[in-house]
Amino acid sequence: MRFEEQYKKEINEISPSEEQLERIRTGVMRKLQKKKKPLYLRIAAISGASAAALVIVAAAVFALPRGKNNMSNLLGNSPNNVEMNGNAAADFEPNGGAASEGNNIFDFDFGNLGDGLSHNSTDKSGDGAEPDNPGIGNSASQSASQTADSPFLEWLSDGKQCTLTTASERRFYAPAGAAPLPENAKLVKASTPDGDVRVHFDDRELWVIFPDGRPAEHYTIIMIDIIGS
Amino acid sequence: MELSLKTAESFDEVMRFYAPTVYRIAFTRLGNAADCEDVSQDVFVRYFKANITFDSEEHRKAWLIRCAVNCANSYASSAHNRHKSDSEDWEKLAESETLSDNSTEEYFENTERRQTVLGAVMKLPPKYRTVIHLFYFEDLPTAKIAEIIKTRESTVRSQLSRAREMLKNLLEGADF
Repeated sequence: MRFEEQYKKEINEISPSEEQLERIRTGVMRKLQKKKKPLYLRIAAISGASAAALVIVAAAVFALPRGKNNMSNLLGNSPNNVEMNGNAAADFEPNGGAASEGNNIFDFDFGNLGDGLSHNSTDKSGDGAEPDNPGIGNSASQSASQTADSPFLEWLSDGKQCTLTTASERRFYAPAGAAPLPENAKLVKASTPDGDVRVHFDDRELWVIFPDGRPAEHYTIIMIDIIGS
Repeated sequence: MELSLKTAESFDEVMRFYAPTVYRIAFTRLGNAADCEDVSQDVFVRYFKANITFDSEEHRKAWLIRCAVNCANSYASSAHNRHKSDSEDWEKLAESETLSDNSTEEYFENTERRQTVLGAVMKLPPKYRTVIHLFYFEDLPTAKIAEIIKTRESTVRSQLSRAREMLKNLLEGADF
């Protein structure tokens, strides 16, 4: 049989089933019905996030103790207050040296900005309620809201399995300093009681999407098995 | 089939008619059923939003094929694909689609053939797969293919030629 005939025969077998066609159609309809937020709301969201971040930084700076190890000294405003001797390095150690006694510049307290994982602003649940679950965060600053209890962190260190709670489209970011996903990590399986789901990830972030765009319940559980290094 | 040439009209019928075309183009690029569905959705969303009135059915088909090729390429180069499992997916996809319909003997025969021709094609570099598919399955002339993938006709011809050479090595005795 000629290549062309054989190829046509085999490719003809690769065709979407009725179920797939229906999923494609439903997905298209939902995406067409999805409306973008008006520009003024998007600007407000970004401004709000920026303002919150500024407030946090300002609070941190002004909360600094006055003394020879404060930030203004480090910036060289009062060089005479800094001891440039063999113990200088210890002065700036977070957990060591005389400077650490009660006035450590690294003892920032960001307060409770939200537990667990962060997510983007596309909260499709609609009710605006804060889910009572450590897996969902609701912070203006995504990196600041992740904690040591984050399942995402757990996954990055373990590389084996991760349980996430999510709704519709969510993005989860690796916090600063977290190990990136191993080079040879591969997604093996992603399942949810609510149906099919796509999980996409790269070195630093992971996002979960329902293909037909429908919003999921607050506590949809995603089980992800990943082969790590 | 007579369909309105306006994108906003006969949308359901157009989608149903061209979904297999779009799906197969995505498949030759991605080799994965789930990704093919995603790409198909994106293509038809763009089709509807384009709000075009086509000159002819050929014009519409060419537009959809071009859109499918571009969407599939974008999808393939997206970040998450770097960590996808190896594309043995296309074998599982093909197997799952025929297992329930064929007898055991036919199934194994089909599988073996699939591992021959389709398997060989899927081993080609992605740009060669697209050209092979558009030439041999969609029966498009090289000039049209060049227009779709935005390259020169001479480039398409040399890609076809190289693809055939590679396929001849993979498929001993292949008759082109």
